[in-house]
Amino acid sequence: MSFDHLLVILLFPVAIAFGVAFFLLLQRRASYREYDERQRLARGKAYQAAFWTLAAYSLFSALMNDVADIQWADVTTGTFMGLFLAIAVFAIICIITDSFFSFKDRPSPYFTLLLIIIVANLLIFFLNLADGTPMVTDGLLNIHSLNVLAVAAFIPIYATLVAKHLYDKKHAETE
Amino acid sequence: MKNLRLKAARAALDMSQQDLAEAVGVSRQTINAIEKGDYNPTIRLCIAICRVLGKTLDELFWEEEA
Repeated sequence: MSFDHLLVILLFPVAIAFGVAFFLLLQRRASYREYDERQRLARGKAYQAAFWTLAAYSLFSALMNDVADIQWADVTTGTFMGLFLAIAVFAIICIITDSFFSFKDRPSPYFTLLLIIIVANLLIFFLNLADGTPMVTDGLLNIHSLNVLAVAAFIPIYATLVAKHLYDKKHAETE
Repeated sequence: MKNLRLKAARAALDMSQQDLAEAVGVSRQTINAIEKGDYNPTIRLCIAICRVLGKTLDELFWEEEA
């Protein structure tokens, strides 16, 4: 196991712990996100779609690996690719069905947050490029490609968010 | 099926979708979806909307069979 892999494995629980702490902090705030009944239903369907996307991806990659002996990424990167895909599916469905933001949310902080995530990952990607850090090892994408994969997942989310925001703005007055 | 009676009742009180949404505690898009017939609200939400608009469930949500 390489040092990079070990680092990802060690950092992953820390990232989850931060995520949980952030969630608990949000819960304590008065402006805790609340979804109405239609939004909860729509989010349930989005979770379902994300789950089946992840299941299909896992099955596909397992089949390709075992039957056709085709691999495109190491285990860690492949796992994250599936997660990014599922997150993108969930977020895009939620945005389209107006269930991404709670009805008390202001969307602007999320635009900023997503943009920061995209820019930060792009920055790390370009730094890796400048360093000459390889993103491919033995013909397989390695963890250094995760940043660009994250960008690939978050750009469609951001684009959907912007498109939906503009669509809503245009149609809000006529409804 | 579009719920034009809901839209008419709301307009009669000079309320926007946003006003009604805030009054019943849902998103504007949910009110829009109900008016367009894209979403069937729960009885709880129907009652909340009726209370705000001063209408009965029959007046806003009962559909006569064609």
